[in-house]
Amino acid sequence: MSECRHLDLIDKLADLAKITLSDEEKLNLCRDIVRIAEYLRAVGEAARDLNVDPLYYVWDKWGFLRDYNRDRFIIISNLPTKVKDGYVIVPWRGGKIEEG
Amino acid sequence: MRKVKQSWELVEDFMNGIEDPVEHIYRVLDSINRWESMVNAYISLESPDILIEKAEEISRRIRRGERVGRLVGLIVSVKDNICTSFLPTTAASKILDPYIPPYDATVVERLLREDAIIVGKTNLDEFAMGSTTELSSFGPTRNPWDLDRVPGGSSGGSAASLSYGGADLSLGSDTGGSARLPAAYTATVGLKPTYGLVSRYGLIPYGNSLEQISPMARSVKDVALLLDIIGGFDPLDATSLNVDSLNTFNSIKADARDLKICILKEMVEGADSPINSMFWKIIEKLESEGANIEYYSLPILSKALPTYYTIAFAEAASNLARYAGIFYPTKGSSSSWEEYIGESRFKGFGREVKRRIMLGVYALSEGYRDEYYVAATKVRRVIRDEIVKLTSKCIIASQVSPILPPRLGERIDDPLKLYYMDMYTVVANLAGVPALAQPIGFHGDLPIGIQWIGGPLEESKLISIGLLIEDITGLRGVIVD
Repeated sequence: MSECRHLDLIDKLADLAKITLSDEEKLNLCRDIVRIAEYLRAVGEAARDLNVDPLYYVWDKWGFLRDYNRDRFIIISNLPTKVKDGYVIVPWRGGKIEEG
Repeated sequence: MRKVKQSWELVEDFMNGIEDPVEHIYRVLDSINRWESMVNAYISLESPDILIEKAEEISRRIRRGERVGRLVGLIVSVKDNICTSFLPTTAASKILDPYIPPYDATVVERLLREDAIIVGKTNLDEFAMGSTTELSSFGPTRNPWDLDRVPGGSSGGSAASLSYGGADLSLGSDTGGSARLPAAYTATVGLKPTYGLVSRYGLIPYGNSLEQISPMARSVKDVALLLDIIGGFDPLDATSLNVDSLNTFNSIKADARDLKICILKEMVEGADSPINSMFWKIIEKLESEGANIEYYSLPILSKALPTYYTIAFAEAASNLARYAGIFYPTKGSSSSWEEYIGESRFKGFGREVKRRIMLGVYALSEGYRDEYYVAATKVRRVIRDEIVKLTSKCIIASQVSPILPPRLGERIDDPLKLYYMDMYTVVANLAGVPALAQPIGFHGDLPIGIQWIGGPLEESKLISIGLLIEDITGLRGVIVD
């Protein structure tokens, strides 16, 4: 079990994911996960270089949604601080809503 | 290799009394008997008695001149992550075996409404997480063109069932290329529709912002026939687009002189030489017939694969949290709640599923979330914007896979090598745009495909260009002999 230095991390992830692992699985996953996480790190670097906010399209601009539930729609024009350049700002995904 | 009738031609022949649905079902059952023990395309098959009875009823209805549906008498296989109330739905996972859903997916209802006969549920990588159909709890599916090789994945069972004649049409699903890669590896056709065009109600979720149920067939026109039936608005899917009915079936073959094709450096570099040479041969042919070919580079696409996998892992971790040994068949035995859940997930999930869930948890964890998941959503938006902008000017042409179908076991031990197989296909899922994969030739016995990517709701354009390519290659309705 000493072949992977990140077994503590694997234990934490397994606990969060609610998965019991055998010792052999733990070791294999430890090797794989550390390697894959390293590969995925390229995304963080790319996002920093792009300097972009995680904004999302206003769907009804495209006219794709059915309007039979229109009374339940949020009218985007009433939320000027939550829209920027035709995109919706999603705070929980890291977008910042400007105050005032 | 031999050629068989296209499904739409079969329907015409059934209606004109040239072919009989009963004789047809016997032919298909013969193929299944001949191939299935070697290929393992199906996880579950409907009883032959029921299938023959259905075909007899359809035959009677046609003879009486009763109104019948557009898929009358056609034999359809359905990927086993799409819910059916009459056959088990396992997503190739032990955790769901032998779950029988209490309802049919919207797409299944639409097939049955059009008098299709559902023959069985096809094999896949567990929860559609894979590119080879080796990661199934029910054993790997083999490629009928070369039984030592994989059929691609995750809809490998669907593709294999088509290529040996075990079905006329098939439903797959495509989260990052899962319908297109198997199509390319089996000389069949797979179309990933625009996100929201086909209802996902009844699709066992893996990466819900990426995946679409996808029509698969042995010809472009048959894929269009199936798409027109399964596509369109469904109130049961919150992401369903406001599209009433589709008419891609009547799309006319494209004229090469009207085509504007874009080739992206990042989507053609890195492929093996036989794939490259076949791809450029087709492009040169189109150019010689008057197509306008333009070359671009989008450097951000070099980050498409890690972006895709980060999002897919995060969504998988969330979607698969429901398998806690309570509502579904595989259960734990401990009296402690925590241990009971851990045990049921330990017993029920395979290696790749555990890996993806844990990586998803990692990507969403406090301290890592901004570096991984949030970053991936940002990069995804940029990729989407670039692809939508480009596809407003042209159709993108690319390879489907950078490699020929690998041998069984060749890639399974190295996850990064497996993920690399999706490098050309994930872009369409990140952007939510439609993409078609179709055969363009063979290297020895191994099929090679091409991919066309259009703008949102441009499925008809893809069908038109697909029809043109079929005329050039003659690869339409091909099965293994």
